[in-house]
Amino acid sequence: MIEWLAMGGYGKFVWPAYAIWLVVIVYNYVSAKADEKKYKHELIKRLRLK
Amino acid sequence: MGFALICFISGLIGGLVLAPADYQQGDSFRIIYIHVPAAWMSLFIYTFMAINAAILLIWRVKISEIIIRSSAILGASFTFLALATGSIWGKPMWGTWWVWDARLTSELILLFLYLGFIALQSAFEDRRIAAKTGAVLVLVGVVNIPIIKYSVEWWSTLHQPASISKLDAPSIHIDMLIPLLLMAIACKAYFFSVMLIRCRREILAYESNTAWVKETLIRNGDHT
Repeated sequence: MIEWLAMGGYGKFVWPAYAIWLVVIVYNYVSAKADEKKYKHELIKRLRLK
Repeated sequence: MGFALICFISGLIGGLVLAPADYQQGDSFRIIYIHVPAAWMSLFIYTFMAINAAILLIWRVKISEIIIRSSAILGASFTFLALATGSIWGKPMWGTWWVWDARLTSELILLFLYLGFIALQSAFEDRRIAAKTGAVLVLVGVVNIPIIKYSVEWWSTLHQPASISKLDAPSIHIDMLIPLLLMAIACKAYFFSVMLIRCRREILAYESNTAWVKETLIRNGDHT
């Protein structure tokens, strides 16, 4: 396991690259979902006021 | 999104665990499983946006406007990922984080084109004018796509030429190729899933005053 994590001495390059990738991929999905939900709530609020 | 997730997990297991280390690059080559699909996506999304920009300007199809706007942030993200992961791979392999090589520079220009489009969308109050101006920018910038693609052939660059071509047999081993293709499929499925979520939100914004939006919100129980 430790050997695998070390990635033949390239772990300090491989894992940060994957971490950046994961953050961007997850962020894009979560923010799109959250934005849609937030906008729906705003619309519903507007409908109620009318 | 479920399909994308399955492909991502399979691709990552294949790329990080099952694929053998490269005989020259060692385990650092495993960065290609995120770098190459990100670079492919950066070109694919821009081309997809350009097609929709042409449809918008010629036939004035409203959904194309929504698609372009929803795709831009994803295109910018994949371009950023291609540049960032490529830079991290470049340090141990080339001995530098960055070189002003034709491939890297043209990819950086692509990132600026995406950012320019996003900036334009918030620069105009009228969404239709913003979309049309953005569409023109996307069409002008499409000239950069063949430059990125063929930069490694046209100029002497530090960046290696393509290992996978549509016409020739791939120059990488099948055990390394399968996870790469899985990651590419996953990225494409992910892009369409997230783009459709963004499109839904944009459609709601465009049609917020129509009866069908109100009915849909009520029917889905979102009014409670």
